[in-house]
Order: sequence, then structure tokens, then C-alpha cells
Amino acid sequence: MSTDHELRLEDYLGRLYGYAMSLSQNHDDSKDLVQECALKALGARNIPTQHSAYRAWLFRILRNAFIDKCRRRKVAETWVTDGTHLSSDNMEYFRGDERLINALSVKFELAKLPTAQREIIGLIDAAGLSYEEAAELLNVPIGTVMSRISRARHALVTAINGSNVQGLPVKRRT
Amino acid sequence: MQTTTPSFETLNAYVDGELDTGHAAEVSRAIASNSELARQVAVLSQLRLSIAESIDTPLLKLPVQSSSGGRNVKHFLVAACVAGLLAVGAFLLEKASVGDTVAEWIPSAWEIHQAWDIAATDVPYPNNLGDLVKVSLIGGLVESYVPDLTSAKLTVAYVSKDVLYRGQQSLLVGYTGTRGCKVSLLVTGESAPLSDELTFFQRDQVSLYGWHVGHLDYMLMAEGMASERFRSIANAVYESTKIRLPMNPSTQTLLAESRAKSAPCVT
Repeated sequence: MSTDHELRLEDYLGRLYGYAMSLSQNHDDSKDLVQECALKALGARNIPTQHSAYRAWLFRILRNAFIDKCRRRKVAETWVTDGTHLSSDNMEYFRGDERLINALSVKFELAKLPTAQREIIGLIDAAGLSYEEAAELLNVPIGTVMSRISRARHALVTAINGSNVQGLPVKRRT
Repeated sequence: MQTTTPSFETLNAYVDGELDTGHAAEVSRAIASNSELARQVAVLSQLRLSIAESIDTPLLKLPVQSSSGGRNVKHFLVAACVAGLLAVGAFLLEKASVGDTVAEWIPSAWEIHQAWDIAATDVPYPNNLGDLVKVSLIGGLVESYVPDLTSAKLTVAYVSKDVLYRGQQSLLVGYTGTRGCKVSLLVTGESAPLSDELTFFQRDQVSLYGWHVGHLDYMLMAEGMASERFRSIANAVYESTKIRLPMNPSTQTLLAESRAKSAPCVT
């Protein structure tokens, strides 16, 4: 019989997967990360009871699992602490055709963004974390999260506007 | 009352519901009086929605925790032996089953390949589909990934999603080349005994590549194409569907080179 902890954890599997995908960009790796995260969470002795703390705790486990994986693979990633490539210049509004924005174009262009930008999108848009929760997880001020998410989205819509990816029109046989 | 124009950052926070009530009301007023701001908000809302839709979340289950302590070791060993025997049995059964059905499913796939007419394709598909396209099907089959093969000088000429393969609704994508080549990609539910690895099948004059990704089977068929070229195309398509990402530039170069080295298709 499932415990409360298991039921609560099960509710988060999809969102954990969304975040894992934003980090790894690989379906199998993401599934592995979610499994690893779930195993660690199930085996934990001290489980946060408060909703927000529980959520932050889960995503931190997954993030740490990903960082460990990168280290094992000796992937030289600077994104974990380095946000300096995200310019602090004042950003203009997005110019372009919003009709190009759809799940397909997003999927393709998201994969091309730097990991730091994918991660913040994964946390806010895919996992549904608040700015405060994301800030706590990333160990940065809320203002930095606000700045990162807007820059990441700006980069994404700009990339989509220059993309040629499109859905395939399917014709029915008569 | 005069309102200041909110920054892009503020609009993002507004869309995310991160502004306090007073600030959000101020932004709402600014949006109501400025169509460009309203457009920015629409773009951001659409982006959020599309990001959520772009994630193909698989069916995920909680992992089974292993029990601790040594008291279950004996049970574990017995269970492992039983599991081992079952696995061997299942393997042998599967082998026998594959052997039985290969002869049956290859001809039916090949029949579908032959049914579409290379000369009668007037479908106005763009030459460049983008790096990869995703096609949603009805009837429980979703998320078929169809790669762009223009680097191999193959363009989509025919698409049909009401093809029936072994009683299951399937997607057929027909590509044509400039030198008489005809290639079919058949995407279907788990209808054929395919593995996760790219596998080459040959029966009589028919040859095809097949593989399995997620809940879908993919079959790639070509007529009269040089075997090396066919293999390089199959490899590229296999990788694309497996990782669900577009082909990288080096793969595209390989496909172009493979075509340049090979003879025209013979039918």
C-alpha cells in the first residue's frame, strides 16, 4: 500500500522529468535521473513536510544527481554557478511572429540554448516552481531568477523566430 | 493616472504571477492601454504553454525499493534462480516467435511501401521540412518523429496517416530522390517484433531496417538503393528518432557524401 510520501512523490514525477529534460536533453538520461531522485527521496529519513520545502528538496535531489552524473562523465560544465554570460543589459521587447511559437519549435530551439537558460526554463515553465523556490534551489537572489527567466525566454523566442522547423501537414488518402 | 511602461522582465514576472497585487494591477492597466504590451504578454503566455506541451513525459512509476537485511537472502536467491529460468524461457520463446512472424510482417510492410506511386505525388510539401517534424496521429499513436532527409537529397512526397498495418493505424512518409529513389518510413504501434537496436531484415528481394522507440515501431524501406547509402540513411533516421533531436551537421554531411558516392537507384 502506498504511503503518503509515495503518493506525494508520484505527483511530482512528471515535473521532475520536465526539469531533468531541460538539464540533460536526453530522454533516457532524464528517466534515469527521475528514478535516481525518487529512490533517494524514498530512502530519506528526514522528509520536509511543508509543501514548498518538499518541492525544493525534491528538485535539489534531482539537480545534485545531474551534477554528479556530469562529474562522473567529466563534463566540464560551468553553468552550475556561472551566470555571467547572461548579460545584464536592458532587454528590449521581443520582435517577431508569435504564430511560430508552438510545442515543436520550442522543443527544437530549447535544445540549442545554453544549459543555464534551459535550466531556468525547466524550473519555472516545465516544473512550475515559483521564483522564490527556484532562487532557493539555485542559491541566487530572486532578482537573478527574474532576470534569468526573462533572458532565457527572450533568447528562446528570438531563436524560434529564426527557425525553420515546422509540423508536417498530413494528407488523408481518398 | 499615468502609467510607466513595464520592462520585459516585469512582463515575465506578471505572466508568471510573481508580482504583488498592486504592481500587477499597474501592469494590467498599462497592458490595457498599449497593444504592443498586450502582444508581448500574449507571446509569453503562448511560450509558457508551448514549453509545457513540448515535454513528452513518459509513463513514470516509482522505483521499487530493495529490502534491507540478510534474512531475505535465501528468498532472493530462489527468486533470482526462478527469474533466470523464466528469462531464459522468455528469450527462447521470443526467438521462436520472432522467427515465426518475420516472414509475415515484412511482406505486409513492403506492400505498403509499394502501394504509393512515386509518379503521382503532387503533394505540395516544402523541400525543407525543418530538421525534424513531429506528427501526432489519431487512434492512440502519437509523437511520431519524421526526420528531414534533404541532406540525402530525399524530399517528402507522400504522407498518409490512415495506412493500416497489421490492423493498426500507421503513418507512412514517402520520400523521393532526384535519381529515381523511393524511400518509405512506416511508423506504427508495436506491431512488429522489433528491438531497440537498428536491425536489418532481408527476405527474398525485400530488405528493410526496423527499430523500436518508446511505444512506436519504425520501418525504413527503399527500392534499388545502394546498400551503403541505405545503411547510412537508416542509421541517421534511427538516431534522430531515438534521441528525438535533429541530425547534427556531421551526419548531414555523411548523408550527402554517401549519396554522392552511390549510383542512382535501380528499380
